[in-house]
Amino acid sequence: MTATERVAEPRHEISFDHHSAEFRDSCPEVVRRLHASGCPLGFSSEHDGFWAIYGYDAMYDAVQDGELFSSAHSAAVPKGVPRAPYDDPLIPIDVDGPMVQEYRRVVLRWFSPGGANAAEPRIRALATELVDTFIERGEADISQELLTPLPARLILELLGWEADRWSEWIQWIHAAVHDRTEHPDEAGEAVVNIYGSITAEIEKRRGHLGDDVFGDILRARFDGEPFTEAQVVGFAFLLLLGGMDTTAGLTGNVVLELDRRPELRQQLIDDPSSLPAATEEFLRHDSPAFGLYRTVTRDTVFHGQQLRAGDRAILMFPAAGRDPSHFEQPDAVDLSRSGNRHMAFGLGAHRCLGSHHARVMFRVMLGEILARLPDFRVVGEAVRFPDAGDVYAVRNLPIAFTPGPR
Amino acid sequence: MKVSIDATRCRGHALCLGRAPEAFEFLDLEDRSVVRDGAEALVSEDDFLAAARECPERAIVVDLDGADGGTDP
Repeated sequence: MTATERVAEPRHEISFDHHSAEFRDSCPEVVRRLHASGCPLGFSSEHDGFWAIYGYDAMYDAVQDGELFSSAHSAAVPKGVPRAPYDDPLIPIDVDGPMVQEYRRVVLRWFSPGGANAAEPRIRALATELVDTFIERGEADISQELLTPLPARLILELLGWEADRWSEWIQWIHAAVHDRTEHPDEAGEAVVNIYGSITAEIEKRRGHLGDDVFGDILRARFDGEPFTEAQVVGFAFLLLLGGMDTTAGLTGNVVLELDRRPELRQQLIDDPSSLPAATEEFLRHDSPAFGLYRTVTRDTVFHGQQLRAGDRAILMFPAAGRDPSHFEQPDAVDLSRSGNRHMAFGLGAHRCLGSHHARVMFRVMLGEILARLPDFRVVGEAVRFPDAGDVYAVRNLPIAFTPGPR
Repeated sequence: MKVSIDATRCRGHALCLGRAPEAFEFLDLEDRSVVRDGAEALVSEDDFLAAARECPERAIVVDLDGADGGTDP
């Protein structure tokens, strides 16, 4: 397939804002409408103008061409729609070229499939411990009491930081992600707190590095030089962003789906061995991570559309998972789906570093819910974060269930 | 049959190991999968093709006419 042609079609204008209430309240419908619009990418005039890429094949071509679609971010050429609420690049997601792999290598032993398998017993213990705190009550805010604290505590433990401070970190991370468009001052304040607290962690480690992710970042050398303080902060900030928000979001979306689909829930309860395959199907169907951005580096025609150097683009990976030209019945959850080449973790050089942990955490949390709260039902209002543009997730998810023993 | 993984395309999703664990090995510190030595003799064509269909990077190449054997590409 030719991704770039010489002659452009008329610009495909779309009425679309991923930060809008409409996107938050009717995300699947909005995505369906985009796919029905007849072009795999479209230009929106919101936020000073940007491209949304949602079609499966266009997404594949975009991520494979990191020279055309740059991941670089800086104060001079900021990335994001609207721009990210920080100036220095996060490492390695805001970097182009061969250094991406060099930077990933620093923490690979923790984030490889082997690293995720090694973490599974700890993830299971955390899940059991958290469910123990509410199972006798017969009700819980499953988002606040399990889905949010488990990944947050795990990433803090991996970094070697105090896991008991998870709720403070979570508030800042949520503000940095979910308030950055509507309340940029609050997001900015959260980023200042995040930077200050990471800097304090650096200070604590001077002279005694631990056997943990943060120790490996501080020990890393490139041509003999360690990361600068700004790079350390950027790396740690990214690990917190990736670690604290997205797996909770995925699992919350799936709990909501299972509440609406009792036959699907029963299928999983009857056959727990279907969980690994189900994990991939839920990743395709319910991934929350929409807000991945690129900047176009040169004028070219891409899938029929004239791109210009400096144009900003959002790669809506979860939307590619719902593309009817690639997936049969994309809006249905089909646990027997084969050839499920979803893009929930992105593709190419920037494939989600935490994807192996995310899979294990999701599988363990869902397994714990189905085993110990099998008759859960959503009661009251599932409250989504007001801005779903970057991470489409619930903040509060009150459930009731038959109380059980700790 | 000859199966190989294009190392320039593989990005370490590790989904091939989920589909055919006896066919592939994951190199944790290189962030990529490789075909196990001699796997073509032990793993069915269907399993290889299924694994290739799961790979989102389209990095697995199954050459049905290729010579038997298990050299690591």
